[in-house]
Amino acid sequence: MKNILIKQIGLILLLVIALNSCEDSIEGINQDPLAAINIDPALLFPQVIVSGISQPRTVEGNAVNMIAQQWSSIVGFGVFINPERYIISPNTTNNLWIGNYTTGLRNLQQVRALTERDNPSAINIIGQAKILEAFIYLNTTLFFEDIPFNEAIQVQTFPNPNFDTQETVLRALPDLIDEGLEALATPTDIVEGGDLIYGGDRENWIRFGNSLKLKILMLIANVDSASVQAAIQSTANQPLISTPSQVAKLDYTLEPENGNGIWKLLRDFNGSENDFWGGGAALLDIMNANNDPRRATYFDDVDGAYVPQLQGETGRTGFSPVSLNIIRPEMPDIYASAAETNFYLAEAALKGWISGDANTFYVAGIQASLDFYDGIPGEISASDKTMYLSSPRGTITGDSEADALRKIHEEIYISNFTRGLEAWTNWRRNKVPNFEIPEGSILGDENIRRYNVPLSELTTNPNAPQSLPALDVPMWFENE
Amino acid sequence: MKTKFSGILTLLLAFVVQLTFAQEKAISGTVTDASGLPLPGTTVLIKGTSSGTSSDFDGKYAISTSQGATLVFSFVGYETQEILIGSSDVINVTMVDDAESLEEVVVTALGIERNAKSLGYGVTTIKSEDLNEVRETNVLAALNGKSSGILVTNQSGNVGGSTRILIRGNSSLSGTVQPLFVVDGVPISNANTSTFTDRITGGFDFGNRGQDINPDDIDTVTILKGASAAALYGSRASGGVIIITTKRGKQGQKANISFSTTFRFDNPLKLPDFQNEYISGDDGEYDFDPALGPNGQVTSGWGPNINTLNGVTHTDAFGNENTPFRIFKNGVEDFWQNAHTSINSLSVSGAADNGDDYRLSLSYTDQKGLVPTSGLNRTNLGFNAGKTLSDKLKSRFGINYVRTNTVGTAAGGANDPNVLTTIVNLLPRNIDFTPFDQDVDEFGNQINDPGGQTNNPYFIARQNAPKVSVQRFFGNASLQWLAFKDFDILGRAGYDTFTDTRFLQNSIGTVGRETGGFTDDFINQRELTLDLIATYNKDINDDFNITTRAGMQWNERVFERLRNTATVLTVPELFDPGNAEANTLFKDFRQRRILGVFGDLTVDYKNWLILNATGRNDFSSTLPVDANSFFYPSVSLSWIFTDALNIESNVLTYGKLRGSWAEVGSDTNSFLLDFTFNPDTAFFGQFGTDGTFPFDGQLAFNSDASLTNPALKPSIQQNFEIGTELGFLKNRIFVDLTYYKNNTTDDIIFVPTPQTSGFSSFLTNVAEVSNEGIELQINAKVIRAGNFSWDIDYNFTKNEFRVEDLGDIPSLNLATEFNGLGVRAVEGKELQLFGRRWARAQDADGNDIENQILVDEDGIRLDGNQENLGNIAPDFTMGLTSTFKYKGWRLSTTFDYREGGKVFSNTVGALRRAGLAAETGGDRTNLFVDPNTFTQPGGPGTEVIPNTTPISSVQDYWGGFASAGTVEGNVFDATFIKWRELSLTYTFPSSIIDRTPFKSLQIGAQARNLAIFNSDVPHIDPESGLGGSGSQLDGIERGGIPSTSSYGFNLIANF
Repeated sequence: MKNILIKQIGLILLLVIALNSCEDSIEGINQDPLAAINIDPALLFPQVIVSGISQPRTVEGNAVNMIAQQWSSIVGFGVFINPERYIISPNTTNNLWIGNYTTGLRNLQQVRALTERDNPSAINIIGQAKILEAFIYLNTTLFFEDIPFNEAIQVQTFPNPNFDTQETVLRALPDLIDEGLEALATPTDIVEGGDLIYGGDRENWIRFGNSLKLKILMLIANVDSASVQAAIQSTANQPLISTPSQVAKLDYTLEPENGNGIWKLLRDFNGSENDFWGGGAALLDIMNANNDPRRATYFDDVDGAYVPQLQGETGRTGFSPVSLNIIRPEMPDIYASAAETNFYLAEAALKGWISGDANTFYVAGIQASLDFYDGIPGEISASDKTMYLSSPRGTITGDSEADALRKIHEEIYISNFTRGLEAWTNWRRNKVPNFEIPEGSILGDENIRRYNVPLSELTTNPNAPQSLPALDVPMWFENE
Repeated sequence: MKTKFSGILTLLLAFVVQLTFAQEKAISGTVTDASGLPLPGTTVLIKGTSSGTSSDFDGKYAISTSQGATLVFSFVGYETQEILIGSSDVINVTMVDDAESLEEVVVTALGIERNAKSLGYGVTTIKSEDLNEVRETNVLAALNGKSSGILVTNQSGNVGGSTRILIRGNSSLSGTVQPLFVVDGVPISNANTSTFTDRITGGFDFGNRGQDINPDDIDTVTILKGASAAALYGSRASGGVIIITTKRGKQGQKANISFSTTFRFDNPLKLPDFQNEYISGDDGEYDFDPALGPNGQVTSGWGPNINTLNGVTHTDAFGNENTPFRIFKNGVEDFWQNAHTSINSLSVSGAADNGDDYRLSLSYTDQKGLVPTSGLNRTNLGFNAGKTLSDKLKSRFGINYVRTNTVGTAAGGANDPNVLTTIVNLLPRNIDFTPFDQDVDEFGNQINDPGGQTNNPYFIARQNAPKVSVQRFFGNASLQWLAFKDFDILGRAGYDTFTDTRFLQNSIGTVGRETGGFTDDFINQRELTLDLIATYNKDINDDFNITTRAGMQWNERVFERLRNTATVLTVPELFDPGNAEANTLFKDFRQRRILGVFGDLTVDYKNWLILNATGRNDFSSTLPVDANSFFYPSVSLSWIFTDALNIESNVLTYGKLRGSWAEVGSDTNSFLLDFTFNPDTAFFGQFGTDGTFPFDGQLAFNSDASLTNPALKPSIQQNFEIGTELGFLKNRIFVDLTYYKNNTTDDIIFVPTPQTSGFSSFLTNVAEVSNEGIELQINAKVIRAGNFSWDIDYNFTKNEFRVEDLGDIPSLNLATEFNGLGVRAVEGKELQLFGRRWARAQDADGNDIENQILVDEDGIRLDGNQENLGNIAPDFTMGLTSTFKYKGWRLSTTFDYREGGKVFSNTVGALRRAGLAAETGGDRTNLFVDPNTFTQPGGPGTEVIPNTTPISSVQDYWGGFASAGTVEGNVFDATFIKWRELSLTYTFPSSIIDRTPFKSLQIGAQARNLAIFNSDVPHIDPESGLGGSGSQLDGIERGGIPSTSSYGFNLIANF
């Protein structure tokens, strides 16, 4: 009996020991060995710039080249023809939304948090982050109009952010940019390698911030110029992007799988030839009328002529495709251009909002647009540049204000080639040039003005709008 | 004991009888089991006397009796048979398994064997012969129609494709709903891992790993349906448990060599019905102009009628000039190759008198699939043995090696050049498939592609065939120590590991992947389970018996993966990373452990009242440290009232009431608690425009897009069930009825959060879901007339899933497909198919008026809002198996009926949009008015006017009706009846066998998936699915390979 008892006690002891050692093995193994708890914030920049900003702008935004009627789809594949006819895929709106908010803005918020915690003196990094944040909010509101801004990306305080009107967002963004500019005012540690835009060039970041601010103010001015006139003048006095070398852009690269997604579509689906996209009539009609030397940069000719294809039409030959000068692996995503900045200044000067000669800015804008292709495929010869600049197109001096304005708006439209969102935005702002109604459009006699907030937001956010405007309802900044 | 005693007694009696009645007739014969094997120890009694004998080691017996007497053959576990002595001196008897034997032993949780009578919950046990009546290569597929409480879905006709099973409905919104697989007491993996997280864009379904189990090794499959049954498995049992017990060497059996071979032909069960009148083109015009290159053609089936083209010639898609137009009716049908399956199995088993046993088995499966070049071969090698080491120590061990090679699995979904079904289905009717056979030129370049963005289908099938090889070991070893009287300790270790090596290729020149590329994906999974169980079994007195168990289980699961995606190849057909311009590596590692401590108490009063209570505490590595321990109990009661109340009736022979209540907890996946920064090697782009990091030489990290509730706790499933088992007419009719209700609360799910908060999801305890249902099984021995018998097994299941609570969110997408189509949980409803509907007229409040579909000014249906499109799960399911036996003949057939539920088919939609489906043919000049449609010119709340505008064209009509974006027209009622199985077998009688080297011999003809009846889904098998068994994408089909229908024969021989 005693023997059995000892055996039993022994067994129980054995069990207890086994149990304890097993229990120890449970805790402390739940950390992912392939993830970091803490990193240098610079490592988040490529994610923000490539995945958060440029992939949405190029791959998803490619359809906007058609919506802006600069491009026209040659082939009848739904993914190309649908957006041209204003059928916007839920995947597209979703990818834009996720790219902007989740990939872009969240990681920028993490950049700021990590910097403030681990390297608080590196305020230049905060400045870079804030200017990128402003850029992302601008892109987002230009697609969706009303968006969360004041309550966005603060999950602890605002798990369900309220939406702000476009007016609120646009009027707040210059302040956000000012915070960024202030943080960039004196040199500190700055993100260099991960800064795929400027490689840590602080001066250029300041130019980017100011140019962005100018553009936002010009959008507000379209509705209420009085409120921003002073701000436009003070911004015009700041360093701005004025030469092609200062352009804010992401250059995709020749490195394998670092190429531009639009080019990849041709590579993977069409043997790197462009049978997919042709020139739009809204653009080519102006360029043809002015014998624009950029036509040969932008498009291939058909027997010496540049033939547009009407929006929404497909399946026919004889049209000018977008040139492979343009659609190439390194094709950049241009965030803010020297041409655009100069044209905004020209318009502001013309309207008397800023001091300075409107024609000087106008000429500088055209020059910047023509010079942009220097040293890259599609370079425009000096003689062609001179010819264009010396044509009636090269000046607004002597034009009536209306004619001058129209020229500025047409030239900004031409210069915004490959920048679908910017071209569409300027059309919505200026209604220049005249847009056609695409064949097969689902919006009747109207052109598209907006994308709708994706279902993913509507179903998860009780503070999201209950009903969405139709796609042809103008945005606030359109002043209609 | 009783058997042994009666055996001795009968021997003694037989001796006496022989002395007394020696002058009477001498009868002899052999007693065999259903498979023809001798059955030693069968009691043979002369009815009405106590005289008898028993069969010897070879199943032979001899007895003297007189003509007109009746012999009674009985053996535990088999039906007792009575045979009238006629003129014959030889009476051979085949004993039939008594499916409803009340003494049947059921293997329950942790391998604990319990008497079926004593169980307080519903289980289904399927025996090997019922499982393998008509051979399947995936054991799950063989369960179709055989049990209540389960829903089995074969995903597609791909060889080695997956089969999804749900036991008593979807128990969680987390996606972890597949049951736990247990082989001989040890959990093994049934993973269905996809190569890319996205299953919809060209996803390959390489199968659920439960298919590695050799069906020939299976003795029984027991399905533990409820939490009570499975409570001892702890947190992993919330989706139910499938317990597989493998065959062993049978006690009292000399070495037995068994050989079985099956060969069958597999054909598509259902192919689309095509129109055979209209060629390619648009609006009735033929518009393919080869001079325009690949973009010359817009649509496949909206060209002119072939009858209008007499004498008209054209340059065809392959550049042949002056070719007359022709319809090629059988292109698709001929494209699918003649498939076949052969399965050969050999086993050697036996047992010694001292109880040592062994079984060695080898099986080889060779399958050729419908997709050209596709095939599967599988080698199973299994060995198990038991050894009694001393009177106190017993050991067992088993090991299995499985190697499965699959080639040519076709992609499903869309946006990938390899979705073969879509390619072949959507080719114009005037395309000749014959030239496709030449798919490459002498340099390996693709030739004879049909233009547009479409590849030559043979090029895809031959040059881009993926290859998968899975090598797997699983096994267990156990030691049982009978420490003292009534007390034993079992220690058991189980291990399962497999390496899944996948190779996916896109050859250079693949349209859509022009520059070529490949993916190597290496997955290793391993699982170690250690059990220690102490059992004390004590008869307190004549009435009371108590069994108590205490034990612990330690389980570790590790998942490792290394995947390289290489793009832009230089040298064709050289799939080496060095030949690719870019290589994107992805590495993954997951590890989790669970420690469980449990106790089990069974109190048995007079064998008619049995109470079982269990408790288990789990410690999980995946939960926060202060919430990682969770306890859950179960209690069940079985009351055999016919015994308790001494009911002796010829009508009600047996009656039992049972009830149980249980709770099981569940943890979550590994590594979800910390907020981390993750190195990233790839960035996303729609339409396959993804790219890789580093970008311009810069590394990229991404912060977590999901937050986890720091106060995460285990989810809890509560289960209540009551049931009754009733045996009527001496158990000729046996009814098993169960009502159950399961509630899962605090379900751990990724709740989607507004992207604008910066995060896509929040992992937390939020949802509550319930499943309530009724299960009914009826087994009827309808006819027992001498050598003829007819049995019916019927099962019925009605399960109602309900989302009880979703916290603050109104709905939750469980899985999404294209164009916003998805599966979603909606509070208060069953799981819904969700997508865009046609526009409806609206009342003044802007609410849709359900039955008033709006059309536009061209009479074409308008796009409306995204709405729920109906329940995905069937309303109820039924299975019916009928078995006829006459002497050595056995005829068996199984039907499977599912009522209700919805299925979306893009295959159907695409055929209609393209003008290829039969219903798009006929007279296309007949511009009819779309019936029951309306217009509401004044907008919501205004007058609704019946539509009188004829459709603008038949093409426009189908464009609107079967629209890709507005999916309503592509959603169908998924009801179907499938004729699952038909088999006819013949077992040679021993009178013939005795003159051969065989111990037994059985031949049979068999067929599986013979036909579909009562289906509203045109063109495809309504059972198809895109997601594979591991995804929640139920009810959605896109580009699936047709499922198969099989006919063949088999032979089983024992030596």
